[in-house]
Amino acid sequence: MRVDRLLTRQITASVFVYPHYQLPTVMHTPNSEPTPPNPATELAKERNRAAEERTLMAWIRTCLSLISFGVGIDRIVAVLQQNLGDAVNPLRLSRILGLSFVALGTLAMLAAAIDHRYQLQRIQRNDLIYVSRHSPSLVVALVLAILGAIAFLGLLLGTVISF
Amino acid sequence: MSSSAPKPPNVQFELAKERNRIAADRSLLAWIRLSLTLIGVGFGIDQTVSLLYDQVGDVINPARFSHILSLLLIGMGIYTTIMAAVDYRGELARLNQAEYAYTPRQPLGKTIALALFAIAILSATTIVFRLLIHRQVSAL
Repeated sequence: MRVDRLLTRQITASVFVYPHYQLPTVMHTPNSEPTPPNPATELAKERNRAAEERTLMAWIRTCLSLISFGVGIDRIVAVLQQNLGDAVNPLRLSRILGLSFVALGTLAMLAAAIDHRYQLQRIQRNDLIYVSRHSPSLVVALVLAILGAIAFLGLLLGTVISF
Repeated sequence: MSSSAPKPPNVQFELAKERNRIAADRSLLAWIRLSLTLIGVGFGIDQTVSLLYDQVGDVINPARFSHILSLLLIGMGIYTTIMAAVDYRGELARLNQAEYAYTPRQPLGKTIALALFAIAILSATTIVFRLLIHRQVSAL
């Protein structure tokens, strides 16, 4: 059948692209007639792969936002201070916040890329069982909430002190 | 086959669970981006306005509108991140159960949209009010 040929070609290609690829289960009946791989499962795997790709792209967008906001906040405040003739304080709040954003974005991107690679290998398994695990996104959310709280307190206390 | 034999895992169901998990991941990431924008814009507005006030040589009013707006935006960013993380954890817990059951819940987006709408109305009112005062002062 044409579908079977296509599926076989795709599986062969997968073995070359992903060395850990596990071939679809071929069930042997007592008559030793191999059962063809279930196309529905293979299509589900393909949907998972596409979903993983979209997730990685979402990570890229998030990390790009983190890094560009970090650099932006630091540079804009530094340029404004220089233009005003003020002495640029190397340990000002905007610099600490900016550097934290850049560091968070870089580390998150690394973690997401490693996780993506691992997940791609995982979904190739034919005995896949869903395992709940902590994602780097939860860590990023918590760190962002902490950084937001630092910014909030910094602005609030800065005003109170200057007042 | 004995009745006590373990049921083989349904790979399609497990793959669907994986897809739901990464969909929840993407939702959390989208919320993170929104929070980052709120926090970044809030902080940026306050820093820029403070420095511009310094340049003009005015006394900085601690209760100025830009400062309150910045604090509101940053507060909203923190709230959004925490609520999205809580929702994400709930979704992970539901996925961990053997039988997944969809539970309708209050959308976080509605709360944030309403809060942003209120902030927008407040900002517009303040700007219009200032314009009117400025015109009256210049007319005198």
